[in-house]
Amino acid sequence: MTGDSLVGERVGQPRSADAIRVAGVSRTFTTKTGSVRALDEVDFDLGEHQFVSLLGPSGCGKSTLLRIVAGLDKPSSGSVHIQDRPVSKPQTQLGVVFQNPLLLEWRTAMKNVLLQAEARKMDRAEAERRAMNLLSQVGLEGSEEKLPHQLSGGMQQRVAICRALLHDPEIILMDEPFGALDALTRDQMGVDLLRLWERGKKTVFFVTHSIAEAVFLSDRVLVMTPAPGRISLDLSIDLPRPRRLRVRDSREFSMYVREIRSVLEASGVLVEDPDDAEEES
Amino acid sequence: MNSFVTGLKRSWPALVTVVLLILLWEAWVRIFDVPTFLVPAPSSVFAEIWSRPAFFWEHLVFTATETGLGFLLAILIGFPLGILVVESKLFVRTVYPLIVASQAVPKLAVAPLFLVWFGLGLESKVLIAALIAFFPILIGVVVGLQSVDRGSLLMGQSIGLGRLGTFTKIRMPFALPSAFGGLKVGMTLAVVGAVVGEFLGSTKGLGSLLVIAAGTLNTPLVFATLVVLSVLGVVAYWLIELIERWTLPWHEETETGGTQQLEVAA
Repeated sequence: MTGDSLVGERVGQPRSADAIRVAGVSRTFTTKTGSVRALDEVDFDLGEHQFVSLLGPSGCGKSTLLRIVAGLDKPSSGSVHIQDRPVSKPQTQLGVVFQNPLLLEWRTAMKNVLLQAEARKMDRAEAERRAMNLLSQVGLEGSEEKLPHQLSGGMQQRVAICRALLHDPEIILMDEPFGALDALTRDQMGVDLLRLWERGKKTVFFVTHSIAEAVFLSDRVLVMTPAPGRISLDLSIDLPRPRRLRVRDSREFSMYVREIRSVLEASGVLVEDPDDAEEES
Repeated sequence: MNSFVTGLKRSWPALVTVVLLILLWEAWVRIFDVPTFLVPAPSSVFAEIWSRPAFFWEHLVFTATETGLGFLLAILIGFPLGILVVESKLFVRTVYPLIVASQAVPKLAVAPLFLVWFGLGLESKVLIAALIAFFPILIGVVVGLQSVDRGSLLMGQSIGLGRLGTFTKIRMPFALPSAFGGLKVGMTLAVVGAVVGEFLGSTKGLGSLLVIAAGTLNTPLVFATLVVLSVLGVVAYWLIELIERWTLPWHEETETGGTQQLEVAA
């Protein structure tokens, strides 16, 4: 415990258990037509080794929040602490997975993973061994020397996940990582991600707009409602682990989904009209 | 070898068209008995080249040297300037507007000055070629660097790539396809610069040959020189494409992948 600053410290909370602490974070974007408040006084703490999802509709500011946590964007007010250190610049000790794989198209799968090693000047041989190991864990052995355009979307995102995990980060941020994939691939990626997570039990902060995905993966789901974005539900998911896909057919699972949906409905996100725009299943 | 065969397969319709056009031209000259000083038959043009290959070769080498050196100089100027334009705000405000404004002056109109300053030899032509070739190269680099995917830059930030690492590992490779576009335009312009320089005053080179041949109404020689000049232009362009394929293998593979799919669809 350092005694340097009281900023962001709040009474009654055990500091050491928090991997991520977000306190009163607001973000306002100024555009030509005026200012838009994307985030409004967002507060939450993330315990270590937890899998926590941030769920909300498109455009509710959840990606903005993730970027602020990663230190890639600055809040207009409020503060973020990661393992008790205030965030003021990019948090390169984290592993960040973006919505798009963002692989460099001129590098092979292996070399894309090793970009992480080059950026932090890791020992090359050691990094290569780790990269090889990670790629085979996500089912990409034999594809190490392939270029991104020779891989499917799901495989590309697996490579991106390996890149984010190469330096063995304690905290992983994922910004709708499976959003661009088809439904079946998406389910498979969820299952594989959980298997990977069970082995290392990292802290995962997972942004998604799929209710089923959030409930299936998480220990805890934070539901965000839009305009301006704020956390309107903080729900613990007490489903047994390790999770199997069939858990989604259980009554408990449906109850969690229903509870989340009702909050979204109350905020006007899901409207049950004949020609509604419902996108969740 | 294999790529040569596929290249031949793809370009044979164009080759057939060229051969047909040459035959048509030959027939036209023979049937209507067109005077040679107006339009020579293709056969007499090729005979002209065939009769003294060493002579053409010597002039070709001279012009090719001017073009090559001018082009290299243009790269040495265009690349660093392009990088500076994107990286330095100060440079963008102070020097870049001058460069852009200077492009409004017809550069070939400045060429006579270069002959006054640098003489009738190689140097003046190299400089003229470089002067008109560097701008498209610079623009290619600038456009390429500016088109870098923002998401990839964010990813670079998130893993802690520094400014230099981001530049060499992300920005520059992203910029290369566009830079090669600029190089191709620059190369064709370098040939123009060298030839125009020779027009204005030179003792050697295909450009000076053209001026002499046209002045003496030696039309077969004019046409022969034009043919050799075209070969120079095509080879120079093709050389850049070769280097591009060798430098950007991922780019080519995606492209041919696309055409293959198109062919299957058709």
